[in-house]
Amino acid sequence: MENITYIIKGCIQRDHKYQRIIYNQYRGYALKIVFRYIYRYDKAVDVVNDGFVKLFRSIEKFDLGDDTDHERKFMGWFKRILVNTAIDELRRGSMLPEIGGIPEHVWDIKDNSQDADQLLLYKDLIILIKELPPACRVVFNLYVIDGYTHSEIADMIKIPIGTSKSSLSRARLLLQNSIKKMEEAKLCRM
Amino acid sequence: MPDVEDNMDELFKKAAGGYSLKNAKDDWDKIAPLLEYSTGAATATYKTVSVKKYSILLLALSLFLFIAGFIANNSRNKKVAPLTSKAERKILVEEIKEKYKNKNLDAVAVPNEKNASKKKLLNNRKEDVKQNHLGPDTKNITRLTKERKYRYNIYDGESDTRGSEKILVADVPVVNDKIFPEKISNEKVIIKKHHPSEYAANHFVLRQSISAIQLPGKKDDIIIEKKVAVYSREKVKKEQGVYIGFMFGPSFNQIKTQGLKKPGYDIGVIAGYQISKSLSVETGLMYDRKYYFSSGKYFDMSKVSASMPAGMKVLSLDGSSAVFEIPVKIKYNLPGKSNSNFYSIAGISTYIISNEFNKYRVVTNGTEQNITGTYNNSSRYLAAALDLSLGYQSKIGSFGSIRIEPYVQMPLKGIGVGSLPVMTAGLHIGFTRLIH
Repeated sequence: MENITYIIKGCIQRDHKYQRIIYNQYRGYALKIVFRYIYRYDKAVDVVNDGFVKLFRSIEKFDLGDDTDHERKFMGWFKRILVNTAIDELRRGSMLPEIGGIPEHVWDIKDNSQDADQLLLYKDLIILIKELPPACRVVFNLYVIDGYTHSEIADMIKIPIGTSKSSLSRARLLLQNSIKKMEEAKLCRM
Repeated sequence: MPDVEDNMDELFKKAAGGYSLKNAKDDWDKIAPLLEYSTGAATATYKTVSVKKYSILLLALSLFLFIAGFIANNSRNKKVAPLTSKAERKILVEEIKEKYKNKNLDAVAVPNEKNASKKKLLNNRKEDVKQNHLGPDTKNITRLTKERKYRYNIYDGESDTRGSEKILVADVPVVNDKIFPEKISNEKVIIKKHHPSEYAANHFVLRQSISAIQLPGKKDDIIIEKKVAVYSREKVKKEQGVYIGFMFGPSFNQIKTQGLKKPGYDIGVIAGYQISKSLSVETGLMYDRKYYFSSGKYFDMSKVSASMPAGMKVLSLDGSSAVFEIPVKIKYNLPGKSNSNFYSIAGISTYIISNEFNKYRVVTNGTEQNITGTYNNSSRYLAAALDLSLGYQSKIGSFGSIRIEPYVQMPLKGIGVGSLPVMTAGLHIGFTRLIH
């Protein structure tokens, strides 16, 4: 891959060649972030596409700065765009919970891979996050996984800081219960 | 407790970083145009669902326009001016004679023993049809067919033993189609396909159908005879055979007479076999979009309880399903006119639900809320509905038939995640065409 700084500069000049490189390189990364927030896979793909459109339209605002690790900085900046796009999408659906299960084909787990068990565990944990009520899911994702503070979260999703904290507590409680149930179910199967 | 939380947070962080997800399909072709021409805030205009919906509508519209164009084209080509009087007939025959005067045709004489001769001619012409099927003249036939011309065989009437060398298969383009006598309908004389065997079959019928045009004189006469066999052959062709077509139309769905929601639609292809004049069997593949709503009491929770929070109760739901339908039906044509008639249909349909989306109104621990459910796993329901319909069909020239068919589908079993008994009523508009 060409130097990320060079590619970003190409994107700023609206060169499709460089935009395409960014799209190919970070498509998977983007989907993994968005899929934690958006319940349905096909909708998550649409949100990722929205995110890329927003990224390329506003990439001139990205400040390369003095930081030498431009890629890390760029990924953080892009993550913020994706998260905001996902939250917008959830708001559009009035934060309604969704059910129906996640189809198996969206996961990329090969049974014969060395770390298949670990991947299965990760998959189950992600499903638990996705099954949280949308408000709790967003706060949990933002706080625990994406590392935002409660004040940032309150600002992002327009809720009081207290609500953010209580949503996080509820999310943790629900997840603990779910993990317990999951463990019990595994023991029963054994 | 904080330790537990920290451990749990750490576990979920690892999961979020390490979980393996199938990569999304390459949508660059959809994104690139939005980048090229747009300014300002991004708005998604490429939702997958919309594309699918518009593709179906576009397909239906294209199909309709294609058929309409085909019918219009056929109507233009098959305007046959019937021969109405003996005088006209004579003029036309004279025209043909004139045209082929210099071609040194083998003399065609009207034999004295007409009946005997006719009988032999009939047999000979049957052979001739065979030759047309398989003989060396096939190329010629194809060419003629493509040119949409008809031809007449001019026979040596004096010699009843017409070997191939004596049969003069003259390429006589019909003069403005006027050669055909009045009684031959358009449908019989138009050559529908370029397939030589079909051409020959039509040709046979054509020749056999023509009334005797008998010219005075011993030489240069053209004998084109009428044979009874024609009509029976034509009849067989009409009464049996495979037909194909397509149907589309609006549909209305309801569950246990709770009223109708917004209309759905269906579109698809059908195929049938005409067993006799009045009876045929039909099947097909239809794509249905069903919209319905229901009270929660008809919604069976057994299939979805695992994915719903404990203690939750469905109060009502608005649902939509994408269903592939495979009907097996018997069609009975009621007696009617030669070109149109009423018919009734009875049969059963198998459903394959490919996608279901439900908006639930639920109550959990005393709190009401709305939730949605999307189910993409396809499920099959054998003999899910009883089909009943009464329709009207009418021939549209040589293309085939148009049919208008109000129908009702009575549920025989519940479908979807909630096993809902969905009853459907609607109107089908269809086109069918006999293909042997």
